[in-house]
Amino acid sequence: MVQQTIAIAGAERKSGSIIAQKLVSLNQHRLLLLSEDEDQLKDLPEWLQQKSASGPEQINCLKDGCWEADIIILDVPFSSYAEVAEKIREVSTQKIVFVLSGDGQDPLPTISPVEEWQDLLPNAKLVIALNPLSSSGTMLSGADGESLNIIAEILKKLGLEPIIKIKNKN
Amino acid sequence: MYELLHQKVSEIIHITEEEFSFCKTLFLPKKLRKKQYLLQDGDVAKYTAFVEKGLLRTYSVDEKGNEHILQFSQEGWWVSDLYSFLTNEPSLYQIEAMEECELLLISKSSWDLLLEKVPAFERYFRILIQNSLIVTQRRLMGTLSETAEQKYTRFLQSYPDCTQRVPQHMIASYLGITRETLSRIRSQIAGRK
Repeated sequence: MVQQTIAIAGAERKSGSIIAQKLVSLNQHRLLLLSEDEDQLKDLPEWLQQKSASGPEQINCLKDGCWEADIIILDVPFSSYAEVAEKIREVSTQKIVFVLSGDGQDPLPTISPVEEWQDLLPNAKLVIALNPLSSSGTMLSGADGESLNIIAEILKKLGLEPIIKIKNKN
Repeated sequence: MYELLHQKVSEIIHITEEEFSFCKTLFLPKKLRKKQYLLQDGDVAKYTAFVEKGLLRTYSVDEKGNEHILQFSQEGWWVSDLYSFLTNEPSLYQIEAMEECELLLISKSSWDLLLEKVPAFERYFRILIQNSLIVTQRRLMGTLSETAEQKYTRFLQSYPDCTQRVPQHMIASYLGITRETLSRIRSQIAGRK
């Protein structure tokens, strides 16, 4: 089976780091850690920085990393949503983009992140997790049922409890 | 990113800018590094791919571990296991990047949507599949009846840009001859020039 490539932007942040760590432990995917700020990549936990043949690879270009990816995971501050979307829009078409939102690191956005991202990446298959690491389960929302199920299956393998709560229509 | 696709499509059918803009929303852009796989045997071919940049090979591996190369796919070509793509059955082939590749992938559901919304693409893909059938029949007949030199000459005609990009042992595998036979044929051809 072709090994899927997952790119993570925001692996230095709270949810991104935990998801990345769990994906490394699972060892079923090729993992790319993305940031255009080299200092941010230096902020990665030590275990994520270790370079090995099978370990995560660091890439300092969001667009290139997302171009290689089958699945894109974003843990980025609300204030940079538009900037990140602009950089990856062309290469994220038809790809699953899994957005981690509302983990307490940033003030909550004034409008729903689901609507925000659907406007920013209209041709991506968006799956949004609100409070992804909540002990009461990870609520997933999105418009594409297959993508929701794929992300839910991955989260189960990571030991999380996904709850497909909302299916928004485009 | 879509320039070559637009050019190749426009060589066969007329489509409006609006139709091509819609077409672009259905493709998944994918970069592969050298030796990464687009498809492995036993998997269902979920996509058919247009090659924007790079070179791939489609091959199968027999019980003894020998590789048999069915096709090379270069810039401007489409590549997939069409049988698996259309039937959802597991593929018998591996498709591997021989160079860093930039591909545009389209899933079966997006492909169906494209054909429904832009009927000109029905004609485009009909012509591609028609041409592919002709090439396949010629290759089959060549395998049955041509000499090794004739096969090599046909390879040079089919892949004029590939001889410098494909290792000799892979060309031999594609032609179904040994590396030594290929080397002898190349020497004979060079000697006549």
